[in-house]
Amino acid sequence: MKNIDDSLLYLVGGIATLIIAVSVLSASLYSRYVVEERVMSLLSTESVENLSENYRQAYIILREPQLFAKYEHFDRESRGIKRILEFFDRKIVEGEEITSYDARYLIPLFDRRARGSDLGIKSSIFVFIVSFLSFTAFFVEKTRNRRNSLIE
Amino acid sequence: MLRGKYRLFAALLLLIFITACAKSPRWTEDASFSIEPAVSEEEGGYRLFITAGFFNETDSTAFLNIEGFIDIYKNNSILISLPFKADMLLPFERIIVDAEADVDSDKAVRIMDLLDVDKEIFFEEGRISDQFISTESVEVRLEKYEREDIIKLLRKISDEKY
Repeated sequence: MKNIDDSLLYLVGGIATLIIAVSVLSASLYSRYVVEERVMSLLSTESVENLSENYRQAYIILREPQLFAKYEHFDRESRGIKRILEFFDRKIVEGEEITSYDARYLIPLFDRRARGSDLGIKSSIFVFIVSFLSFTAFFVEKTRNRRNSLIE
Repeated sequence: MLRGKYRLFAALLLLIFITACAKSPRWTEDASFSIEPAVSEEEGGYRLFITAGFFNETDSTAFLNIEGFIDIYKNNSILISLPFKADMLLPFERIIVDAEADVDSDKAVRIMDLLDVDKEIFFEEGRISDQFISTESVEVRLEKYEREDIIKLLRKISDEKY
């Protein structure tokens, strides 16, 4: 029976999944350790002077959704989230102050981004495992082919 | 040349691309009607208002400087066009626009017939306020609007105002 060499398929699969895993992990880690940290520092400010400005900056950062927590996605929370976006967009457009009472509504946006980052990190681990299995299959296939060619 | 199934796949991709780009303010398919004397009832002129709702179903695009017409049709031809304008429609937002035009009493009655408006109130009181209408003969035509990414817009406004 003719021996079919699948090693190229495994190699391409391994490289493709590795690229996906690295991209997703970098985006998620950036979100977790750069974006979320910046938002947290803006939200936990104690200076009363720049309170509204800090909340506004925090909102504009949160307005750009995380890769895995896009606002267009339909899920259980999206209804409430849409109301919050509508509320803050209008407030900023009208030039109104954002008070600490309003800022409570920034927490669900922050939580959504944090959960998006979590999902990204966990997904990238899964894709890393798939990539690792592809590379393992590649080496197994290569070894088996080499052995078969020696026997023939 | 592309083979059959590849051609179909390419057409589907193009369709997805076009529909993704073609987002626009969406009329909520309801409207209300008001009419009142324009200057004085003796002159027989009336001012007609149609109020329509618009919804922005996108999560990241704001529509600015929206202009259009609310057309009322009779036998496939436009009986009257009422212009409207709106400054801004933000993501997930609903806005109400008012379109208005001056009409004489004959035309007012013909329009009310088309829109299933209760004319008795008009004949008794000379005016009607905010009555929901049948939208079968009504069509909303968006003449122009600008699109802007909401984050860019918020940053721009933030820089200008603060």
